[in-house]
Amino acid sequence: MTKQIPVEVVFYTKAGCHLCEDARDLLEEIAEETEYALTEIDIRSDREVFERYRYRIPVILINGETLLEGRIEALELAQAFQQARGE
Amino acid sequence: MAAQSIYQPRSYSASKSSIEGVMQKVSAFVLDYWALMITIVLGIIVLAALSVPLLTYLGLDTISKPIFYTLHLICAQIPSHSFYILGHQLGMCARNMAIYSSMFAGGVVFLASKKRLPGIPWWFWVLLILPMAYDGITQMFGLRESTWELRVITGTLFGLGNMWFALPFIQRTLKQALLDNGQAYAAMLAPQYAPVPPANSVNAPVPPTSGDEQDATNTPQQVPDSEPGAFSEMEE
Repeated sequence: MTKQIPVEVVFYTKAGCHLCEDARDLLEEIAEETEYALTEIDIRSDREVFERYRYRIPVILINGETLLEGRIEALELAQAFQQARGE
Repeated sequence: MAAQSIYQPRSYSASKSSIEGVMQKVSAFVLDYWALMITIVLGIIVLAALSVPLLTYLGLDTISKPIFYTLHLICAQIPSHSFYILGHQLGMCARNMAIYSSMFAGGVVFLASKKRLPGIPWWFWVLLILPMAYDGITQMFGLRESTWELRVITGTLFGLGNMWFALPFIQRTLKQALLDNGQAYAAMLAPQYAPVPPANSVNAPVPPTSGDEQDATNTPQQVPDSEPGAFSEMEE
């Protein structure tokens, strides 16, 4: 049995962001199939983070490496998870 | 005296069915208001894109979300390529906002000119759309990254070019088609509506007697200019 690498996901978002709601739905769909640790960050909570991501959200960071942003497609998110698990 | 449209529906037969009558009215309406309808649609798209951040700011997500998702049909809505109002993304990216706004503006100008705005030649139209093609394609293939200024400028040129070329072209084509159609139509009705000369008229036309004469079934009867109620009066 192969041991899966734990996946840590950081999700940068903001209230009133329609694309973020789509991205959240995709993350919930993936959560039904695989386990991962999710940290959701409202970009307005930190000025530096806000300046960095204000024109890019939703931003999903997987294991601190893979970065998906903007209009995120289900396929690219699934591929990013597979890559993060070492599959 | 009020200007009269050349697209007035013609009521030429009382026996026409009601469906044909309705179709005639609809087509006459479309011919009269096609440019206005296009401009209104463009205006609605621009207004919808502008309304998304305002509605979101007011907490009316139930309205703004469907508008935002509907606008995705015509725009990729990439956040980093978009403008923001009150901290919320517009319904369309900067390039598409420029395209649709300038097309809407072009439609308004065309209507303000009473559809008489002269068009541009095709090569000038191509010149106006080339900058956006270059900007978009080079960015799409990752050769370079565009800026919001370039997106707006090239999008505006593209939108204005399209309208400046297409609207006068459509108007010219429609006008010509209607004129051709009207002439053919008048020729078709001519024998039916040609006036019957008075029996005691000394200038009454002589009916054709041989094959060399005019065919009375599909050409207007010749009426002397001096004749009261001549055919020319029927057309006016």
